[in-house]
Amino acid sequence: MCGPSGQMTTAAAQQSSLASSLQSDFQSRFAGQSGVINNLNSLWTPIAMAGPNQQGFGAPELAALHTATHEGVAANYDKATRALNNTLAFNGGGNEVLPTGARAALHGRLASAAANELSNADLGITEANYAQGRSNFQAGMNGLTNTAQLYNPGQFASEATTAGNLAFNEDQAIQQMKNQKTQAIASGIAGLGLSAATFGIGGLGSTGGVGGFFKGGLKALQGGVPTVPGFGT
Amino acid sequence: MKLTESTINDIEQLTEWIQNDPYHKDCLDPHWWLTGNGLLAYCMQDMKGPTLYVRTDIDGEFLRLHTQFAPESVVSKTRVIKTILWTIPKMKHLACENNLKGLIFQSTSPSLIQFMQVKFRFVPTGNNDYVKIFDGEDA
Repeated sequence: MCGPSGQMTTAAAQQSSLASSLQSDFQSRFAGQSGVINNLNSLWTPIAMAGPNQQGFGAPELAALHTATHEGVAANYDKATRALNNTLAFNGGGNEVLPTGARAALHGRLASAAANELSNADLGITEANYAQGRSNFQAGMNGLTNTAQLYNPGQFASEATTAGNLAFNEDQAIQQMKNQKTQAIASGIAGLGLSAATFGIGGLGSTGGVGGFFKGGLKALQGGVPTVPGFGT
Repeated sequence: MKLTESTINDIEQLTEWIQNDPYHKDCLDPHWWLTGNGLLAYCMQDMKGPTLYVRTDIDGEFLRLHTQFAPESVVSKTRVIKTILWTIPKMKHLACENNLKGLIFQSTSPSLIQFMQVKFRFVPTGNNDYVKIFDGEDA
């Protein structure tokens, strides 16, 4: 008789199922993380994101400026209207009556002047608003560049290398101990008759992403998360 | 500047970067950095190409940042720092979305530590760990 035993076939099927499950799990997590990456890409610092054509004044500041302008123009218009009325009354003296149309025209001209003044003031605020926005954008972008120069990131590499060299010997010793432990664990698994499973995992490892995932799991078995030097070392 | 998925196509480059990184050499598997691992793993890219590989994991109440830097001959210092400046606010956003109270990283690089302390107000917590707890004022 030849061929795999029923036990071997079952083990192989289980292994295949496990592989599919892991692959599916990883693909699912990859898709989920891709979504997060897209979301993060759509975020930016508000000033930079708004670009050079952004407004520079906040809503309350803008409202206050418009209110102050409107009130100022309205007050001037009131004053001018009173002055016009006084002038008309004085000049008329009760004996000279201006035609109704002429009086209305004078008031109309005054109102028009006030409206123009208001419009010009609003335009000025708008221009100042966007000028401030451009200034903010430029300052923000310059700040980014200046900060980059200020902190001289170039030092990172050399210092990291120095620190790395110091840490390397220690890491190497730790790694050797871990390798010994990994071998011991692997031997133990083989001893339990699960060689088919370990072979399958090896096969997964050769396919790419899942391999790293599983190695992490193996390291976790050894008593913790994978040794990762971390950020900037 | 953008985040991209790190995939099997990045393995060759990751392997080179890791081999040129004395601290990561011989102790990190390049697959560890691929998207799909950890809470979020990705590649940072600027107009010239990849600048950093990043992996984040939830560590208690913090988002732990791991970074694989490139050899200086491949990615300039200025590109690295610009990338960090761009990335940290996004990591804050990611941490907040996961109801975490801050960021944490481990480093022995004095200039990087100083930069992160001054620019982002990270504080040491021992074991070469540096933490930034969100206070609502961070950009």
